[in-house]
Amino acid sequence: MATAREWAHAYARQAVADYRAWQAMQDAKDFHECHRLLLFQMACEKLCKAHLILSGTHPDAIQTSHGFVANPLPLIIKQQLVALNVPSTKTKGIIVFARYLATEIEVLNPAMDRNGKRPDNCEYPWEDAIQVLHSPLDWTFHAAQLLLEKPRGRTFLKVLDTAFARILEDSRPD
Amino acid sequence: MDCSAEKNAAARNLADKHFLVEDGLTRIFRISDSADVERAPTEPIKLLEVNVNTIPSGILPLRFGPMPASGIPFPSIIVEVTPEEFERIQANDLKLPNGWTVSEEMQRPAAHHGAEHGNRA
Repeated sequence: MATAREWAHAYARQAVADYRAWQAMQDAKDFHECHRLLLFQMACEKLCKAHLILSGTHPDAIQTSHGFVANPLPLIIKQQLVALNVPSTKTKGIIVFARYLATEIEVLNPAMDRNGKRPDNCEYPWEDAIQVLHSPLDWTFHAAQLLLEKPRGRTFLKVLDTAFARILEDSRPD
Repeated sequence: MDCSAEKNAAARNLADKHFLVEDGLTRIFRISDSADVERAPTEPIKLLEVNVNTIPSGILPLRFGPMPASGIPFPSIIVEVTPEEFERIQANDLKLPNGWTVSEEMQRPAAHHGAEHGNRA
């Protein structure tokens, strides 16, 4: 039977692979933004779940459920900023940004629609409040704008990159 | 080996750093397991952080490895909750896992400057 550490490492490896696939897709123009973001959302969710499993949360309790990004991801970023000894003059803005972005990443999953307030997602078409049908293929995602067009988005990605490397090390089986 | 003193210092250092890097953090408490467990060097520092900027998600403990370069030579587990969730923990309506209990409060450092530029562990 696999240990918690082995489970966490398996999640970490999958998270990093999802993240690398997202990075590779940035330069490929024949993909839709929804498909890129689907990978990014999955990478972030698995990163958060790896940290949860490492703390003792049973994999069965979180494997098929969602909603594990908006709370954990900013904390992971915060801990990484401490690990990197980033001065507090810079960290506060990054963490505020990370908290907002993390909620946007979480709602990319169709299961997380904030009680119907955020039906926009990366996978399935949806009807809005005035019954207009939308497809993820045509949608402009706020998360993508935040990540790729804002200076803080690039900073966030640099820190996130180190967080992926760190969870691989932290979860490495003895 | 009893490393309580070193772990206490590292916990103080980690709490100081967390207070420093984000404004929404209002209170930090140690989380304790049994005394025997806490004495082990492999047992993580465990902090409960009350944050007005987080969203209600229940108890989601996140484990991190040691950060010796930042003065934290022990692994750590952080649980972040909203003020309302903290009230529920106090009322025993929301429970910490593994029999953990909320322990001493870590006071906000009076002066941030020292915490930013020096490791206290």
